[in-house]
Amino acid sequence: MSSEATPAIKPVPVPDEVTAPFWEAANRGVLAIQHCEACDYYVHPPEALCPRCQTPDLEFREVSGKARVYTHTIVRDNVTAGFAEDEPYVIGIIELVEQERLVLVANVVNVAPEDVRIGMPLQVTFERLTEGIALPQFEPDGEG
Amino acid sequence: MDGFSGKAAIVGVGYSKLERRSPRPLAHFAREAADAATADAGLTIDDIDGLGTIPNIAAYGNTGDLEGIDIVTVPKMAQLLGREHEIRWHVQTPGLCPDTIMAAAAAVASGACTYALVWRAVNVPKGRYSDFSLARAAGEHQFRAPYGFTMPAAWQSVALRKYMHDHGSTREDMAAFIVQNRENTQLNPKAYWHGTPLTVEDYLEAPMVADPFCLYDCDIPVDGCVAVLLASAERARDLAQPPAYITGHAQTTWPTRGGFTDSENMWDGGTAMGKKLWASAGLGPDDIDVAMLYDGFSIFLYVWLEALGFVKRGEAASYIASGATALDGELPLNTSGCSLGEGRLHGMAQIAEAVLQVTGRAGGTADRGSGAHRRDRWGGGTRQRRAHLQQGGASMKFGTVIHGIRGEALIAAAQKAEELGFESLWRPDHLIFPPEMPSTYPYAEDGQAPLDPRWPFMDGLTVFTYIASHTTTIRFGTAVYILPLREPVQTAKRVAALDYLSRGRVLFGVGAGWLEEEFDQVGLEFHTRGARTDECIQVLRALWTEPEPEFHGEHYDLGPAVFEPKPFQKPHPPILVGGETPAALRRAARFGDGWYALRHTPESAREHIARLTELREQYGRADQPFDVTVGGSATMTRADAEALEEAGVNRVVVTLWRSSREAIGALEEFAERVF
Repeated sequence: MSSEATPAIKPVPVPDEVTAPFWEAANRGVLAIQHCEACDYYVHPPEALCPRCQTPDLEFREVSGKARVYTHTIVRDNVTAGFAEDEPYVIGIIELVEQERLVLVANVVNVAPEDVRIGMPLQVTFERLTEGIALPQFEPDGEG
Repeated sequence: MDGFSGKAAIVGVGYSKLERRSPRPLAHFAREAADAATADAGLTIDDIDGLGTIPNIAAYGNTGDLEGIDIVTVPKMAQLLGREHEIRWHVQTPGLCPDTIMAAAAAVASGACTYALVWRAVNVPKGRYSDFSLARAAGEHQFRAPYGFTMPAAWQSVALRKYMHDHGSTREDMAAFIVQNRENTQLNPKAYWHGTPLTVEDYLEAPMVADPFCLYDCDIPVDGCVAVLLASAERARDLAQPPAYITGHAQTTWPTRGGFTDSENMWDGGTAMGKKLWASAGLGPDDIDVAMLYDGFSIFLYVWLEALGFVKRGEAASYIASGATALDGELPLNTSGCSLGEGRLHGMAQIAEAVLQVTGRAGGTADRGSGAHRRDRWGGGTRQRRAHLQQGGASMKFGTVIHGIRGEALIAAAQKAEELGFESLWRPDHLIFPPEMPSTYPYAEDGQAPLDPRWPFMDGLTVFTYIASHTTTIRFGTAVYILPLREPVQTAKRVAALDYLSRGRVLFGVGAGWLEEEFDQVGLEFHTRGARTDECIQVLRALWTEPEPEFHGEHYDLGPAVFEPKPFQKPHPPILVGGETPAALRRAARFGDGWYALRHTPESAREHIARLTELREQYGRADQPFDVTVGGSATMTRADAEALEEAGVNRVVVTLWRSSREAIGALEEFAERVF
């Protein structure tokens, strides 16, 4: 590990067998969340078997992109390259409207960090990281 | 309780020095801790034949993992001890110290090894604790590292924000624990923050790391090692220190989802795990005298206090702020300062401190923990826990009447009872009899007491003092001591001595007496005995608890006076009032810490307990601890015991033998059948 150089940009996600559809959709500007067809349950991060009913009947479904701030933190002391210059920045635990406690991690952007509140309505937006990878991010929902 | 409880014990604790960014390699710290733990148990390095550790490096991201510098694995420790060929058993469990402890406990209990050394060696990583410097984020990192969610402090801080939001807590509220913990730390010379007090203002003005976490919500990284030594319960008895038995355990596979702490998720998982823990130990939160909860970040304390059932959900912060978890509170918490104050040792420091606390040694090392002992509710958490763990069953406690006058037979029976898990030994009390017993015994239809005046009735307190020096955990109950038959200062003096010498093992059952001839023989009034019993109890309490006791009643008048030593138990040994009459029940409710009853069915026990509850409410004492002891049949079954427990009974006392020759067999047979 220690032989790898410090990156100039943010760490880039490496899709795997289970998560690839999430990143492929994000790259097209679509938020797709794994969904268990057997027990009608959204799962994130993606899993090999449904954590609720243990079946492999998992598909990715496009979701609305509407969400709320479940909780968040304001980072002021991170030395990781690619982030230090962004400080302070907000990491949100984002609860999608599709299901209670269906949460994902994203930055809350286009808002002053101190204005972010638990419960604040959000909508998805995408940040291009590389040619093949875009990160789902969230910003205040203009439509409320 | 499960079959594993009480089979293994921690018998030694050892710390290295705790430093920060030390030039010494971690291997030096590891050997130092191993030496200290072994010496503590009165053993040598050559006794160690089992090793267990959590080898992970304490960092996230890109730091070194050099053996002996950043980490100390099992093979490295074996080499550091010069025991490569002698280690018979070893384990490395990633992540959690209790996992390693449980594995080692199973190993010593099963005989896979004899003495297992378990350690956690941690250093301050080079550079930053969390420096995710990889260009690619795979696996669990892919959903957090690209967002700059690369710091453990940030992962947990989201949980604190949610907690504060849901329960309306402010940063001022959150300061309470941090300041209290730093106070504990001042009594622990090993601790990194020893000598550096902290005020509420310091907390509020500290730099934010990941808002709402400031610097002091995060543990303090150190270079150091703490090690403990485990042995089977049998071996543990003969070593240098009192054993700290492993009474209960719980593990969970409940996942954190998404790589961060969600207080709701932690609460769900923690609650389920708490249930397993209490079931395993046969105990509940109310039985605990002092708690060591993991505190890598402050939020964990609040969630653990609630999930384990010490307080209701959302009440942890106000509970802490009330002072309840301070050293002189009812549940002293993290008495050594632990990760936030002593240094980051990842939970092993909690285990080490818990061992020192339950073996009564924390005071010796750092003059702390006296609060824990002061608040020891009715008789010593350690003793109570050991009794529980040895009972192999429900939380019902079992006592046995111990007859006889022959020293060796008394000791043999007492030791057997202790080994089998009986909580207590009981002796009836009489001073002197008339040659012919009258027919005035109130609890038999024919008025005949079940005793013969020619039986050799040895003084119970003296017998118990003798037994105390040959046992370590079993408690001593008087069933019941006739209070108005003696001068109360004498009684207070003798009971305090027994309690002190036995390290808090007295259960003081008291009664008013029924045999008029006995009072006549010693020249005391029979008809005032009820009123005098009431006053005697108050005299005892005054003598046992007040710095300058005084009491001015109708029958007794004393003080201000000086009366030392006080009993070992704080506030004093429980006073269990015996008797079945309305007067006795009133006395129990008004003055007692419990009720000592004759044999009852679950139905009659329930009725009496309901009546007692009613009376205790009337006397404004419903919030005081109160326990219920009833007599049981020698032939009772586990189901009978469960039915009594269901009815609200805490303890059953049985008479198992008439002749001391039968004692051992009778004890074994009963334990086999009921425990």
